[in-house]
Amino acid sequence: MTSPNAHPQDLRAAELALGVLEGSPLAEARALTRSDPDFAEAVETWELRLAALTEAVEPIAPPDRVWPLIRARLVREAANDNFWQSIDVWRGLTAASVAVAAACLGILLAPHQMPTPTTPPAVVASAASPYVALVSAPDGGPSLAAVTVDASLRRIVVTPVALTEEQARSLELWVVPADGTAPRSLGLLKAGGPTVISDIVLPVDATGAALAISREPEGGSPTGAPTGPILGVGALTKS
Amino acid sequence: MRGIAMTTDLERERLRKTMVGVARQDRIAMGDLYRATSGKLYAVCLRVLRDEGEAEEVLQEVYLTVWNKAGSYDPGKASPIAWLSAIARNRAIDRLRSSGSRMVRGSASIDTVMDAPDPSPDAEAQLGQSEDSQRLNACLKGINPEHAALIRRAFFGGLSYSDLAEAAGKPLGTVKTWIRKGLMNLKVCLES
Repeated sequence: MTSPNAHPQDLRAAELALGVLEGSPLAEARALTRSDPDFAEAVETWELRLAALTEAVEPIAPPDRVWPLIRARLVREAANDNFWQSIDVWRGLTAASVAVAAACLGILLAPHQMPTPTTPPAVVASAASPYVALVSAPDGGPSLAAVTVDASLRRIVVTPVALTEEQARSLELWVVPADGTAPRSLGLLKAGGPTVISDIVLPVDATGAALAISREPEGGSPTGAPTGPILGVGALTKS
Repeated sequence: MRGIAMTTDLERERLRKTMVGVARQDRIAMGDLYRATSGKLYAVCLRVLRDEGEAEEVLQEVYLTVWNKAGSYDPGKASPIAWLSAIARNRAIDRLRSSGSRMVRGSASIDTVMDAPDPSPDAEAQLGQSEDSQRLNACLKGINPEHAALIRRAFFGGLSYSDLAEAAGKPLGTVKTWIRKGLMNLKVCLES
């Protein structure tokens, strides 16, 4: 025996699923879906029941521009996830790796000088290069590239460390501002040999910012945000 | 006609597999899903919103939601297209209600398309339909035709009680009573 008025909650669920509620009954029903899992399930049951009606709806092709927009948003979401995971791992590496970075840079940039382990930054300090970074694989893996920034903060030199020419193909360099805003592209790296990138724009106070290298489609990221795997990150530190 | 039914069974099966891929965050599967279902979901959004720009925006949100929620899709509860359509309808209705009042109607061409009678599957099309759909349509035929017509109208147009009262030229109380009776009789039929 089912009387039409026996299940007031289920009727409310059906009304919400059908979409006829408005104003405060709508707000109350929505609140109930959040506080009462049984009610939420009743709503879902009705939604799925009624959705069978859409089988009779004739499809209308959406404009061609819609899918590329969706795809770009998916790529951006995924890239941001990967990116920030990488950055988090990198932040965990702490100052120890920065010292190592500086020491490596010392070897790399001034092979005629021996780095002094206690004061590594001194080795690479020079008026022409206020900031340096060593970009390493986020999982504590090998160093990929050494980066120096010139005094005007307008020119950057990237020297591959442990990248074969094949591995260095289609890599893009990013600056990740310390304030948590989105990574910005600094440009593509050349395969085989140092890359000099001019007319870059770095944060005015680059301390705390990071550099990162990602693999991108030929010609660079199509979205303006990193889309491929992040191969390495490194702190931009005052030399 | 048997061919139609078999084709749609195959399509449903293929869509189920595609959903598994999307749940695994496979972008190629996502592209397949979009190609197979965007026409239907866009039509659902357009019917509710009656504005191409709004429908396009909601369609984007729908697929982003699908991308994030595909893991919670349960093939035991509904066909993929029913699940997807429910998301599309919800999103479109959310957009409609959040705009406060009914939006300015879209272009005349849209109104012509959208003011066509609510879809009611004819006998031939019904052969290609899922069991769920056939059952629901049979139950809607079994209840008071005026109640069923109001439910269809609310469903396809995303109309609220007051929209329905205005559109049908009936008192609000009558519309509420008819919809509620219709829904409860539908429940009895579907659960029998």
